[in-house]
Amino acid sequence: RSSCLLISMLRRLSSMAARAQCRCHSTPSSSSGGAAGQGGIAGSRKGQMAPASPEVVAKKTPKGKLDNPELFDEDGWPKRRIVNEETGEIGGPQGPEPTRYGDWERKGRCSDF
Amino acid sequence: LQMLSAGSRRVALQGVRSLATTNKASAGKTGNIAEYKVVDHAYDAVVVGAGGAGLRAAMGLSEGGLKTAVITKLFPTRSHTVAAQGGINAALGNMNPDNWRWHFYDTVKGSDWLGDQDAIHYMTREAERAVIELENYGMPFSRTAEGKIYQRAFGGQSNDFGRGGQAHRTCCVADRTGHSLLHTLYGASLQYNCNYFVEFFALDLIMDKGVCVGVVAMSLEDGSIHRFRAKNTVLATGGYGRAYFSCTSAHTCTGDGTALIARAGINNSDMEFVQFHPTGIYGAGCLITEGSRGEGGFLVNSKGERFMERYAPVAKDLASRDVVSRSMTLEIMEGRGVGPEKDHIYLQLHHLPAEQLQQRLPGISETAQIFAGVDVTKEPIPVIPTVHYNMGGVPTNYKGQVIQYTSEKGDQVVPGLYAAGECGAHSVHGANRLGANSLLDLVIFGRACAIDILSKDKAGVNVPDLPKGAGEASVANLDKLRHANGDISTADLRLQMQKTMQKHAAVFRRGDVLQEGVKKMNDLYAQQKNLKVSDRGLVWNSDLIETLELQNLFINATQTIVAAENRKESRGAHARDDFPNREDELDYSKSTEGQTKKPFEQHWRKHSIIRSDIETGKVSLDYRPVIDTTLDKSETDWVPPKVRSY
Repeated sequence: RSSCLLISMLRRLSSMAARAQCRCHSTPSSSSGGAAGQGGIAGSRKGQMAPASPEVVAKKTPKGKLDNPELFDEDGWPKRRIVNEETGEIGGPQGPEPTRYGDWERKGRCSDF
Repeated sequence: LQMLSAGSRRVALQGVRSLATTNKASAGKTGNIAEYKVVDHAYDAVVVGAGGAGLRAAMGLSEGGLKTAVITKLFPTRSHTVAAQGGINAALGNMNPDNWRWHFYDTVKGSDWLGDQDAIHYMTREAERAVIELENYGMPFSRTAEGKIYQRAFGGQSNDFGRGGQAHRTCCVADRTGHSLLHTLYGASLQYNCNYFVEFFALDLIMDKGVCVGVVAMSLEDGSIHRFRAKNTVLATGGYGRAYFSCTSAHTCTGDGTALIARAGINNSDMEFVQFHPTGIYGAGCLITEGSRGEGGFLVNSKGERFMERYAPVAKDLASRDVVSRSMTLEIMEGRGVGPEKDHIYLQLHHLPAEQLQQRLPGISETAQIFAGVDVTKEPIPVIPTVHYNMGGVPTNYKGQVIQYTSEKGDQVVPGLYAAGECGAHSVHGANRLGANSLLDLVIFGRACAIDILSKDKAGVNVPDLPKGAGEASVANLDKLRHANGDISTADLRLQMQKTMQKHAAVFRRGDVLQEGVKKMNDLYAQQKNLKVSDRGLVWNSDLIETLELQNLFINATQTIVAAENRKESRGAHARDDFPNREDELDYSKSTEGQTKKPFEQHWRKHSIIRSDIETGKVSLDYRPVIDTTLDKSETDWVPPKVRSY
């Protein structure tokens, strides 16, 4: 009885395996099969999609909310050489001095003391 | 089912899982451990844990040419080091003249003279070289106008052995030093071909007649068992904050390394020293800065009373952190806590003008809204003393080699085993850790382990064989847990343990409270037999992994509470109400002339050496003397103890 169950399971699993080949390319490729998987996916699709026009890309690309928008230029790249005028520190934490209360404080949260 | 082809293996394992859960008859029956797929690997060095210390060790080892494997249960840049926003202390002398000997003095004083002075000497002397090395690997420190690394003032650092005012010693990368450290080290290690085994959970060390020859780990992705044999194993798994109800640590900080050591029969050291912060948000675990009290906020109990006036009439809410934490805990213990379970305190800020709050503490309203769900201008923030760091861990010498201590033979190095970072107790932090020294500890001792291993071993030479039956006990334990069918779930037992630790072994310690806690912890430890695991599968079985982590947490928690009950003095972070003074071999509050030294058994300036019996949960204690000599007397002499006051 258990062997019959096993055989029917095996049949079902092998058909699931055949279907799994097609389902594979909807999941992200695993660390071992990276490049080969990509080639397989591209090869198996029929026809190519036309690249989107720049207006559509600009409209549909989500823009994130930035904590300090003044530190970034309009394309979203960080501005270089942020200087703290009082201390002369370049590239340091923005806003008030984090160690002013004796611990490391950012936004009211302490992360080291 | 093992007959299925490799191509459909992933589906087959999913098939195995659905079979096992639907077949009720097999629930509770132990499976055959021969069913587990076992893969063997051979490396020159294996690093367990990929946080700051693990990555620094891995990078050093792979740079030196050894074939290195890193076993980590998280992706390297997701380790808890990423939460370290503060900086690294190093006596570079860029802002004012500085000397590493002053840093050495500050660290020895901070550790309340429980730190091993040779390890502290090593750490502070190598700090400059290590930080410049990191900067050369590409870590983007913030700069002065001349282009040197900018250093800022931080608590506890002084010039001229405490006499010269505040020292500017902390180097940082904007406000994301830990994050940047991880990314720099990960990238650097990849260029030297380090092998990463990401999302592998280390189950046990493989010991062969007292020598460590490797690690057994389980792959989370498919449940296969991997045995790594290596001449050198470095443990860098971090702390065990999650043994407490309220902690700043990630859910993955479960003390795996210290538990691996305890299961291998090796000792841990100083587990009772746990660093607390008084105002951590209840439930979330984020810390509210002391500046909130500095700017006029105060703590309030269920009666609406500003209770700090009773405990510290002069300083009130600006008393030192341990006084505030103990006062909060006493209020909760006496029944004046707030909330449905009356187990926390309110931090009130809404009496301050909103513009002042916004200007002095920008972002606190956002923090309170996100993590506590309160509007800080109208409601108080729920806070509770929160665990932040574990000073205790695996005892090592200054080179990072793990030490087994017995009173007959003294320090014996365990061959093939190293420890670095928060899971090790080198011991540079002693009884209390100074701020910004923790990231330095990671970098220095990760580097020290790599240097020591490279000085002894060449690539490919003498990789040991595994002893017969290596890893069988681990797999048997794993299998037993996977089929566990008791009556208490992992999450419930873990919550009970966390609440017990928070109530009995937290910042307020007194003999009767600790003894009651030890009894409760022993009962909870025995309850592990009745655990229930609902997921029987092998693929991404997070229930099973959390149960393995719970086993690790129990070992750490029982060691902590028994060691705390045993240490009858107050030193650094371990403060007892019934023994409020520090007991050294001489009374350092008076002149030491004419005093006789107390014998070793009668004073407490010694490390606790802690071993566990895993079956029963029984903890046995021993003591190891503090190392008072420095590495090289000509460079700096030791700092003799004195009364510690800031």
